[in-house]
Amino acid sequence: MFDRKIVTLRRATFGLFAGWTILLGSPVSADENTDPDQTPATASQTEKNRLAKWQREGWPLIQAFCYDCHNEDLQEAGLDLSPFETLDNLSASEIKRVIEMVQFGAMPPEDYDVPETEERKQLVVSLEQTLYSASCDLTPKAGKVTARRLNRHEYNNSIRDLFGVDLKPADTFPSDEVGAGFDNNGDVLSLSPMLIEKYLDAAENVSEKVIIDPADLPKVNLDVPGDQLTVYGDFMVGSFSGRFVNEGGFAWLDLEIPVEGDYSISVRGGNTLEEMTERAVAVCDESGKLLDVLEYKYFGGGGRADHESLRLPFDQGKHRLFFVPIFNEGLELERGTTVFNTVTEMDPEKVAEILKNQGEFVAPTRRFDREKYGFMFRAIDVNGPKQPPRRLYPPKQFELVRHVAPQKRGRYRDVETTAIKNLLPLMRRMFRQPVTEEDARPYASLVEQTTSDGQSFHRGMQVAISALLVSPRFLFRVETPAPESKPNEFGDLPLSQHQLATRLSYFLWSSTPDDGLLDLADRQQLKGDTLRGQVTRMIRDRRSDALAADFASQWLGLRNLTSHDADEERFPSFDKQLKDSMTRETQLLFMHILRENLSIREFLTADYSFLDSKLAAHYGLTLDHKGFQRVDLSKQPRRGLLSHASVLTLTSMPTRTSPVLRGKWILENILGIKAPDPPAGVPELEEDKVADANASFREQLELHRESSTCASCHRVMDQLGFGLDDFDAIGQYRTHDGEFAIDASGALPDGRSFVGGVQLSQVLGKTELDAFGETLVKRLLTFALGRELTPDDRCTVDEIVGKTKSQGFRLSDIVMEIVLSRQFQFQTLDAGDASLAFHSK
Amino acid sequence: MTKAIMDRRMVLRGAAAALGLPLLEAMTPMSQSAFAGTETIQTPVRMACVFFPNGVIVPKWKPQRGESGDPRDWALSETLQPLAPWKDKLNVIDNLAHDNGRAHRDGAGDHARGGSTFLTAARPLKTSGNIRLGVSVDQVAASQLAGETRLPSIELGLEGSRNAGSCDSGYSCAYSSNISWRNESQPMPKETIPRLAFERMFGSGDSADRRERNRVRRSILDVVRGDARKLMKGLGESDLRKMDEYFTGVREIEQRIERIEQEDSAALPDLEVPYGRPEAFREHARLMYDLMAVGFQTDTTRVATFMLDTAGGNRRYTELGISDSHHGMSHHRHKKDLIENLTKIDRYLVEQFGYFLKKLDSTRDAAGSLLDQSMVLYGSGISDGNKHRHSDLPIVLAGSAGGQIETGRYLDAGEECPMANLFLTLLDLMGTPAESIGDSTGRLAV
Repeated sequence: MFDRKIVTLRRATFGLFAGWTILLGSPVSADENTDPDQTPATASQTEKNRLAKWQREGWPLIQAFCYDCHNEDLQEAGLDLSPFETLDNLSASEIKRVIEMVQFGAMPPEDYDVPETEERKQLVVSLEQTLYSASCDLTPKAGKVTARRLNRHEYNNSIRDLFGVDLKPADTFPSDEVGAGFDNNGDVLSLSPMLIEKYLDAAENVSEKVIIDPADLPKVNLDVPGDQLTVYGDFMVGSFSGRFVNEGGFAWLDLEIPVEGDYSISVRGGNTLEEMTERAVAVCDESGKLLDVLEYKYFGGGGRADHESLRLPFDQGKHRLFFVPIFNEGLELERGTTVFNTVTEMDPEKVAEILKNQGEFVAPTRRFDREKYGFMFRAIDVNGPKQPPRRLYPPKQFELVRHVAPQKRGRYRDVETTAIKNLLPLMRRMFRQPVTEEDARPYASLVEQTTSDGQSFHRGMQVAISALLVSPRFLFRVETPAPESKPNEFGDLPLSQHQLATRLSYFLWSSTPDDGLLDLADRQQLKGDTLRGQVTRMIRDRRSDALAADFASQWLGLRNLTSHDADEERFPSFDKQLKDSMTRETQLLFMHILRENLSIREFLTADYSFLDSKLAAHYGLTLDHKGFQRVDLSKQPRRGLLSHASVLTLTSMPTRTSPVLRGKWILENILGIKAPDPPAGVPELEEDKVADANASFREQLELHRESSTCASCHRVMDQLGFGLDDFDAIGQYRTHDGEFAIDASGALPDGRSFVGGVQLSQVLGKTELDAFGETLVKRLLTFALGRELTPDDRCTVDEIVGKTKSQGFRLSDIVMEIVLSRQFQFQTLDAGDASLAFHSK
Repeated sequence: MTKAIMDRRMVLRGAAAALGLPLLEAMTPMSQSAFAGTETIQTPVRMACVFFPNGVIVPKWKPQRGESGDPRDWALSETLQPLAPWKDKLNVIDNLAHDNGRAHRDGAGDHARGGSTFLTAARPLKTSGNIRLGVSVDQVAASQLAGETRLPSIELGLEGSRNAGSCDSGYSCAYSSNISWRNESQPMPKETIPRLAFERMFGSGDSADRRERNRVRRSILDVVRGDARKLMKGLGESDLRKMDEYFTGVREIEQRIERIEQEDSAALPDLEVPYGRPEAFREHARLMYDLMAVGFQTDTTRVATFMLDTAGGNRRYTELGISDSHHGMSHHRHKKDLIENLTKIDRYLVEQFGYFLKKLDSTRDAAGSLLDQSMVLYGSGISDGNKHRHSDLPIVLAGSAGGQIETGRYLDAGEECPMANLFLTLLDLMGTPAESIGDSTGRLAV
């Protein structure tokens, strides 16, 4: 019975290790190593010892301070503590709640017998020990991270980094659920049929944007027959629509060139009499300048024609080309120099008329002087560009389609082998691990299928990429143990090098690993100094901005700003742009502390910040600068995060500040103390207790503390929150709220008092750094692992805290230690894991 | 941004569909065949469930009972007044309760529980990570109707999930933001952008393109399913559950594609759906109601759920001249001004619901109006927002399920009747019976 209980208890959440240091001084390290009760023994013996220890150290305190009100008979607030004597039939959440109330200082209430600080500390430690049998010398497990799909941010970033285009296809996906405070939690990231459909839409969209079929590029394929030609000057129409031109006459062509490049122009026509020698046709541009000369023989009679062509480079845009037959044989023709004025001196009216009549049928004239009309135009073709400019292709086109299957008589050959060659490097990056030809074959078969349907090879590659984008091996991060991996002394298996590279990149970049990481993983070198070097490189890389956008924004609750509303009458300046600037300020401070590897104390005490002109104006400063820049605030009443408009706003109501929310925010996000839940249901305040309208807001708020049920917790929260009351509901500094002067005096839970946000930040930075450090380590570890922490993670948290504390918890150090930790590099297999049997052999 | 930008082609084709009006008649044979063998139900019944957060001002919500004691003798309340035109086509039901909404040993989090129990009647596991609840009534129906219509169900909402922190006292945000649950660990996410919902229901692009695309999709799904099978080898329990979600999803899409391939061409309904997210609440809500109505009308789906806001939602109804936020105000401590404002909001939401009923009632369906053919549940998982009560919930049940429910009554389910009992009845009427759901103890006769 008891054993079964323990199993469920061990699954309990970790949140309750919350740093109680603020309340109780520094934590006692529960030194079980020297405890004679903890000598190695069988599991049931250990449990017996644990119970004995609890009954010796914890239970008497409950009896002394709690049992008077919370016994079988009285059951104050519905709570009966009698089962705690034997720890029988207790759920983790019941124990948890008692710990919270005691730790928070909410119970026992002030007007009863209150334990000494030491006693309170002892009770919390004892209660925790009943919950967490795992101690650091009993084999704490590395834990199992449930296979999880990419969330929206990870999906978008991965697409960006794989294909070099920031398409953000996931913006149309439904929002991801949040578990354990972050939206990268495998247990809550579910996959509905609707989402699969969205994946298909996104895949098709992406694949059509990252590969372009060259056949779809803009091109000119112009064939102008004689009866469509525009001819200036005296000419006759012969049979088969030939245009017979007299001296001074010429043909021209108006071209709309879609894209720069080389175009081939071919002119069919020729001399009108067999006995004539060759005749030149000058090709000129719109300024009359000679570009090239074509030499023609007799056209051959009837519908025949001689045929000459040239290649010309064009810029994008409109062009006019002239084709001038030369009747004066002595004329000197020098390319690039000779200018034909006849073409620039065309009469605009005539031109307009010719264009108007272009294509109208003109009956051929049978008899005319072939000598006089000495050159015949039959048709002009324009084709191109020969080679489309690279800029028209998506950035990775030539990486994705390195090889194009050869064609013979309009049919593709070697499609599958060619496709496999293209797909292998891509699949390695998309699946984040080595792939074989066998893996690639099904995808290559899609290319084959497409080409045999008569579509192009490029289209086939698009289909294959669409399929890769909905493959579970892309969408999910699954950590199947490598068959040859050996368990460590805790029975955990190391992640494969590629799994490690993947954890690393989704932790620091919220994106797919790059070639550098995968190459190292291929060579089994992602360890030791190389691994450290990679972490440093990755933090320097811009992609690590994702840590601010994904981690910091969720840790600090910044994402809630998006939907936050402020009363537009009282705060007309509050708009989306201001909200964005607020969020950015906090993210920039985070990235600054991370990249400079500063102590996290900086979050509390920084006397500078990163502002744009809009936010500066909001803070009462002027800034003539585009974008964000570092601004000195040492002369301003603002220090660190707690003075950021983002934090101050998201802890406010639309019309007013909320000391309760602000106090709770500090407790939870900085000090790691979870405020106990309010009692279920809401106790009613007596109608006449509502303060009259003349009272200040603070006086009104003090009222809810008259009810003893509320007072025990609100005392702690409100007193912290009041310290920030010198900032209004959108974070502007203030000294008055309407007619009332602001009273920003407050107190820490242990009674130390302070006035205003600056003092509060300084006190916290000076004395509460350990609690803050532990909080941040836990939050960051939760994010890094993508799962809720369990009691087994406690030792890792302690180790990281221990290693980074002496340097004041430098942020980059914390990141490094997390990456190097066992929890990050190992995994524990599921109980029902199929491969478990294999590995335990 | 909020202006309706219309896809011209869509409107043209919509007009064609409206002109030809082949929808209803063409639908009938299929509908009948779907229920062949069932004598009582000639045409399909539709089920819609609409959720609003934070409870109501109870005295303003409750109808007045007539002296005769006859359930047909009653008068609408102030809040329900906007439903007057359909008073004979609906029932108001008193005394339904969600015991699993109550704290018991789980402490605070009444809003998360109010939202998550609303259609599941199950107890949410208090956790921010490993979520556990139960299947919801709409999904019980949808899973049995799968294959009958293009979409087994649609899930709509006006707000996405909150994406930071826990939403209510240690409960994962999934509990507050979803009323529809496919199984105990998988919420059905809502579509909040009307245009995207429309395209999901009716597709985009013309039908030749769509056919070609679906053909390619089938071969793609074939390939990735093979990959998924390989991936499953050597996976543990929790990982397998995730993979199962993938397989189920793929199968459902394939079935849908098959179905579309059998249909000659999907007629697009005559509905203008703007791109992007409408900013005005009223317009947004009405578009979503429109979508549910055309979804029913075209028999694209027979099951729909709609959340007007997430549980404990803090929307500010500035269009009513109210600047405080909804949840904040709902703890009104009997302050007059707050109660007045909350009553305004309650009534405003009922007005939008009235729009839906109007839409359904003005749409002809084989056996009368679409409303007659439907069961539309409107309510909240909390009755008195000030005290977080989970009993005597505010519930309206409109429509007669094709004449199976007598309407025009003010019913009393009897003290503490589990809402789950009503669910079992609804499922019977839907032709998709279940033995139990959540904390059901039997069936509620309506």
